Formats: sequence, structure tokens, C-alpha cells
Amino acid sequence: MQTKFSVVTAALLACVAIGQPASAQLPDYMSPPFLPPAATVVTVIRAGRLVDVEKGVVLRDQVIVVRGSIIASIEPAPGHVPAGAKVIDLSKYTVTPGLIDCHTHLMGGDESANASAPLERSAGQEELDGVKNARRTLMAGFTTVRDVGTFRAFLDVALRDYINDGYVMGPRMAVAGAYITVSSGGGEVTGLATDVGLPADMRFGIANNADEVRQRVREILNRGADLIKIIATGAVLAPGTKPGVQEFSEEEIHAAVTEAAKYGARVAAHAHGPEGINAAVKAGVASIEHGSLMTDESIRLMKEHGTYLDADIYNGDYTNTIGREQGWSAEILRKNDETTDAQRIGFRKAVVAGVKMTFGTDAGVYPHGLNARQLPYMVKYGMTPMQALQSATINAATLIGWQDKVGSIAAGKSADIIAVEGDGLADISRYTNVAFVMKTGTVYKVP
Amino acid sequence: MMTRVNLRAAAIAGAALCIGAHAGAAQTLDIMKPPYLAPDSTTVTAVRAGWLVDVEAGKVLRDRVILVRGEKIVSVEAAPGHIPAGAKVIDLSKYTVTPGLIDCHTHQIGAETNADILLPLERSAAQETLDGVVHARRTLLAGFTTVRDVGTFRAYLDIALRDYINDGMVMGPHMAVAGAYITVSSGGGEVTGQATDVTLPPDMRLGVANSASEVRQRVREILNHGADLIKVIATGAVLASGTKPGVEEFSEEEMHAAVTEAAKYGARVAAHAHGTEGINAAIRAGVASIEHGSLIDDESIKLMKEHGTYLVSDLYDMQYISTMGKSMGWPDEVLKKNAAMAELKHAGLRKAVAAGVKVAFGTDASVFPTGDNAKQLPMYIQYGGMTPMQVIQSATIVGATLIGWQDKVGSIAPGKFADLVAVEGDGLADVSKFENVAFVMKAGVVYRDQSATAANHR
Repeated sequence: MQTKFSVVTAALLACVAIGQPASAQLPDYMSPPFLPPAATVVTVIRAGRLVDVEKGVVLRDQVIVVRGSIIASIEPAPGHVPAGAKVIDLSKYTVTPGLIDCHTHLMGGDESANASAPLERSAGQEELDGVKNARRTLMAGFTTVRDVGTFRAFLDVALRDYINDGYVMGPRMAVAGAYITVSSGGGEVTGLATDVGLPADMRFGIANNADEVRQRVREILNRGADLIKIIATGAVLAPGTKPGVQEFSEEEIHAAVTEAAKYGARVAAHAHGPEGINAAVKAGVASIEHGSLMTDESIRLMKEHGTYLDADIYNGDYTNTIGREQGWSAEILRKNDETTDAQRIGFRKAVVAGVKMTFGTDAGVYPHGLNARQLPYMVKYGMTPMQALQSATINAATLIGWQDKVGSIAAGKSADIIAVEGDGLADISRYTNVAFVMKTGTVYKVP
Repeated sequence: MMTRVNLRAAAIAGAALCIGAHAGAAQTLDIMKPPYLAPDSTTVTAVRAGWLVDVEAGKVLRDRVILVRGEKIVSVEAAPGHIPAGAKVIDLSKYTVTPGLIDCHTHQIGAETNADILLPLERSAAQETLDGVVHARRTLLAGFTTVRDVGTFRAYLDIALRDYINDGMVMGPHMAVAGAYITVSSGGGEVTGQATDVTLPPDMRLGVANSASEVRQRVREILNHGADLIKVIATGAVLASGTKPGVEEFSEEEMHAAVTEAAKYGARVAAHAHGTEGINAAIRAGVASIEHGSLIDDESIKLMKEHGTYLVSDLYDMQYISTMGKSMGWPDEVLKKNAAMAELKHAGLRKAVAAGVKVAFGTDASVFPTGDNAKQLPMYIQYGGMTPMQVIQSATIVGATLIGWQDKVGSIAPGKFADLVAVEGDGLADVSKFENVAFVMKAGVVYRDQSATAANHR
């Protein structure tokens, strides 16, 4: 250590000697542009309304003190505003924890009519799409996402790391790395002639038995993913695959759950058909994604196992309108029809039954940045506005396992704070155009 | 067309019906727009320049007003000029305003070079692309509004970055890109130094060619894929393990194949060349520029004058390696190659400048931290014998002309992109001021304004 320090010092001295500025004099643009503020920077937010998602109440006239990247305190106004603090007046706004979408696909272009679109895109292009999508997502008020898969493996890991390092603007990401899917299943690039060869990174997560599932889980988690995404059934948007068909057995999904648990990681299961849903719940996955065709038995099992339902109940309408307009294939439109209304019926039942619900939209099927359009749907299909916001904050944080860091406005948590004008709970659609976004103490959007 | 419009209207109406709160008006949300688009042509900005460097005439003009409409310069007049009502005024009357700088030899894609010779094997295409995002931002904020990006180990990542910058999605300079290196197997453009039984991903070897016909094939593939220019590796390289900078790797005939094939597409060829034989063969083959040109001799200079070949001479990277190389743990092999070459290169550049060879500014960023490009400007004076005006010309109009973009960039002239940088006081009295520019505008968008009057520029 001592030796290393001396070498660095010598190098710096050498720089100075030949007239090159040492690091202290570097131009500001040489530092990452999106680092959180230093702990000495104090920001005070005056909140006209503050949504306390842990208690399920709205507090009036609160003062939030942010030190660096962390929330230091919340007290009734006027509170104690430290000298030198920057004050942000949101007294006419509803201040809410940064929103969390538990089902995004930031990597790659938006869904289109073209089944082979992934083959037209390089890893470089898909990565830059991720940069674009990450920015929009953050600016839309989503300060955290659980990103549940990319056709080209590990592009999400790279994006997450560059965001965390402050080089790219975007939400905090929990990433899946690659889809664990059966050959030709719902997580594959399908619809191609049989003699077309795919690049290796598009098939990284293929597994066809429990041993292979464990192998993939290890490979994906050792390469830096935060969670495992397993494709339990066919998919609406994967040509040929059948959403109702169970693709992995309960034993195979259980292999993923137990192997991931060794790494402290959880499993999200893509599942439309009831057999696939029920097998995944019994296998112990943390969440059912989509859950379109769930039954009363599914709901009973989810309650019993504490499984989250992460149902994307907005994008069916998007696919139905834009998909039809753009000429998406008849097969995909049919599968969308078969899952959209059924999913909403199941969603309503799950809300009534008290299943743990998270907000997840499948962003990427529709354009990133419009995620909050799902909030009014959740209210329409049975939630109170508070429940909808809880699903997109504290519930989502708990599903990811980050409830100590994000998901509510509480002392010690990351300063991830958004705001909408007026009374946000009176009109939940206001969240489709947020006025204020702070992530990790950095303000990205102001009224 | 009509049908399509109607369908869209119907879809929007349908969406509105089906859930009241949601207008289909996604496009009206600011967050959905690309963040770095040029202003529309109704936006007028007037820049008051205390000193204006006219690189075409080689003169400094005092007290000018530059009028910018949208992304273009519309006029340059003596102050006070005619400032249209409603124009935004940027007061740089205590600053030297120059055309946006141009670096003709960068590598935006990938991590900064370090002593780990197999670093490229540890980096995914995704990571290399994101490094490009980091570098492009720094490059622009350092005042380089245009770069000629001369190669990436993973083919075409540069094309993707260029396109996303042009689409306004990513912050960065105008880029002219090479797509991939055309190199002989095991040559200066390959990833070298790995054990012989390590296989490389195909995108790292896309430009490998070992005959004139293979060179033509690679040129076609690279230009059809969207590259702007061709980079051919004529000799070994300092930083490619095992390769010998003095060794000519492609013959004159092979490079001529690249030049003639590229010409069909209207594209030019940049030749990486250290050794004298490689340099001279490349010039005779008709390349547009010699990159590095470390061991140019009198014959090379005569040939460059005769063929109108540009010299792109990178000095700062070598100084960086000689200063930092030991502490960064560079292999002795590289440090020796570097040291042997630096002095010869300085002498060669000085001769070339004296002889009137066209010299375009190029640094080989990211051998050193990208963003420090302008640290080479004083070196062209100190080691190359240029005047301050010649240095700025080499980093503006000369670079623009080498790229073939002299109608778009490279000087402050009506019809060109509003690419402007500024430094405090008289910039030509001390070109090291450009190492931390106060102001950067690219295509009419202000990216950096640390001028004393910045607060009044809103």
C-alpha cells in the first residue's frame, strides 16, 4: 500500500514537473457527470403533500432534509432548515418516493412489427438504445427499475454499472442478465428460418433440464446479474410460442430458485398459463410476471407462498392499438387479445384477495418513459390510488430486496423523490407527467 | 398516406376513449424527445466575439458578431452588427472565439489504453460502447466539436455511436468513423499478445485482409456497413504487442487497392504508418493521410508534398506514455518503442512543417485520457515549429479539409455548422488556454459556458 502510494505520488510530481496539471486541476468534465452530491451538500424540500407509503397516509406540509445522497429527516413544516441549505419549494405538489417499475426491458429498441428486429441490431446499438431508454425512464419519475431481460446477454449489467458510476443518466437498476428459457421457448429470438444461426450472446440462457438451469443461474449471477428471470411459459410476443403452455417444470424452476438462493438472488418467473404460474409459485419464485391466465388456485398459492404478482395491465391496450396500426402479426395480436382482459380480471381478484402486488409494465413493448400510464389502469381494475403508489414504491422495493435503500421517503434511505402538481392521489394520471425528479440527491427535473 | 394518417387519428381517439386520462400524445412530453437536438431555424443567437480567429484568412479579427440561426452560422460582421429582435445574445467580447476544434485521430470507442495488453478481451461490446459515450461527452466539452475516429477493435461500434449522436440521443462531437481496422493477420490493427489457441469474437477480426483482393472486399464491407472512411494499418504499431512499427505490413499495391476501392464510394483512406517504407508506400498508393508518420524521411516529405498527403502527427500520447507509462506498468517493450520514436517524430514533424506539408491535428486519444486532446496544441509549436495560427488551423480548417467536410465545419463562415469554442483573452498568445475552454457550441447548441458573462446568456 505504502509502495503503491509512493508510485502514484511520484507520477503526479512528474506531471507537475513537466507542466501538466495534476488531477486537482482537471477540468470539471473529466469527472463523471451524474455522481451524487457530497455529504456536505444539504437540500431541503418543502412538501405540500407527502405520500407516506409505509403507513398508507398522505401528510400535509412536511420538510424533507437531504444530506448528500441520503434522506436525513422528515418533519412537519416549518421544521429546522439548516443554514446554507438549498431549499426546493414543492408546497403545491404531492411529493412521492421515486417510482419503481419491476418489469422493464431497457436494452434494445421498442417492440415493432418485425419479428426478426433483434437480428438487425448490434450489441452496440442495443446498448445505446439502453442509454436513451434509461434517461427517459428516470425523467418519467422512475428512479429504480427491475430490468427483466435482454436478448443479448449482459448488456443490462454494463448499463447498470455505468449508471452507478455516474457516467450515464438513468435509474438504479436491478438486472437479470439473460433469460433462462427452454430452446425455442418464450425467452428465445423465435420466428426465424431453422438454418439461421444466432450469435452466442442471444442464447446464453438456454437450458433444457434442471442441471442446465443451475448451470445458467451460476453463469448469470457470476457475471454480475442481480436476479434471475426464468421463462415458465410461452410468450405473447415470441412468435410460435404459446402463452398457455408450461415450458419449465416445477422441478426445473425449483432448481433455479435454490441455486439463486445460494447467491442471495431471487427469481422472477414469466408466466401466462395457469399450470406455469402455479408450478412457479410452488417452486418458490419471488414473483409472477404477467400472470395473465391465473386461476383462484393461483391466487390461493400466491397468498400461501407470499409470491408477488407483477402484472403488466397497461400494454395490452398499447399493443392492440399501435400493434394493429403498425401491422404487428395476427398471431401476436391474437395472443394479446387472449391475455389482456383475462389478466385484468385476475388482477382485480388478486387485489381483493390481498396478494402482494407490484408495479411492472413491460416497458419496451410500449415506448419507455410512458410507464406511469399503468397507474390509472391499476386504479380502474381495483386498487385505491394509495395501493397503486405503494405497488410502485415500497412493495416493489421489497420485492427487489432493496427496501432498506429505496421505496419510501424515510431517514437513511436514498434521496429518490418525485413530485406531481396538486393532489396526486386525487388524480393518479398526474404521475404520467411528473414535475420533479431527484435520484440519489441529484435533481434531474424541476417544475 | 391518407389511410395511415386516419388510422393514427383513430388510434389516438380510441386510446382516449378507452381510458380517459390518456391522450395518445406521447410525443408532446419533453422527456420523449432526444435531448441534444439542434435548435430549429427560428432560434437566433448572436455571439459577440472579442477576438475571432479567421482560420481561412489566417487572421485574428477584433469585435465581431456571429449570427447563428438554428444549427448554422448565417453571418459574421463587425460589431455592433445587426442583431435581430428576439435574438439571444452571448457576450464573449473578452474571449477569443475559434471554430470548434477537430481531432483527426481519436478512438472514442473502448476503455482508455492501459498496460494490460489484452484489455480488449475483458471488455464486452456493450462496455466498449458505453466507454464511447463517456469519451464523446468529454471530447465535446473539451472543445472538439468534430472528430475523425480511426478505429475500434470491435467493428462498427463507432458507427452506432455516430448515429446516436447525430440523432440527438447522445452528447458528442460530429464523427467521421472508420468502422474497423484493415490490417494483416497478426498485424498492427489486430488484438495481439494472446496465446495462439485463444479465439477472438468475429467482430474483432472483421478487417483482417492478406491480399489486394481481400483488402477490396473489406473496404466494400466496411463502407456498405456505414463507415465514412477507411483506416488501413500499413506498418506495425507501438501498442500492439509483438508487431514492429518499422515493418511495412501492407504493400503499395494492397494499399492502392484500398484507395481505389474506397474512391468508388467517395471515401478516403487513412494509413497508420510508423516506418519509412510503409509511409512512403502508403503515400505513393494515394492515401489521404499518414497517421503517426513517426519515421518520415526527406523522401517521405517530398512524396507528401507531391501527392498532397496530410500528416496527422500524434505527440501528446507519446509524452503521456513516457511520463505515466512506468507507473502504469507498461511493458518495457512498449516503453522502449515509444522512447525511440518520440524524438524522431518531433524532428520529422518539424521538417514537414518547414517544408509546407499539410499537417492535421490528431492525438490518438484514448491512449491518454480523452478530453485532454488540446494538450497537444502547444506541442505543435514547441516541437513542430508551428505558429499559434498554424496550430489552430491544423485543428480546424486543415482537419475539416482532410475529412472532406470543409463545407460544413472547420471555420466560422456563413452556411457552416455553428460549431464554436472560446477561451478567455487572446487565445493565440497562449494556446495552452485551449486545454480548458470556457465555451462550447455545437450545431447551435451551447454545451459549455463558463464565461464570466454566462449568467446573462439565458
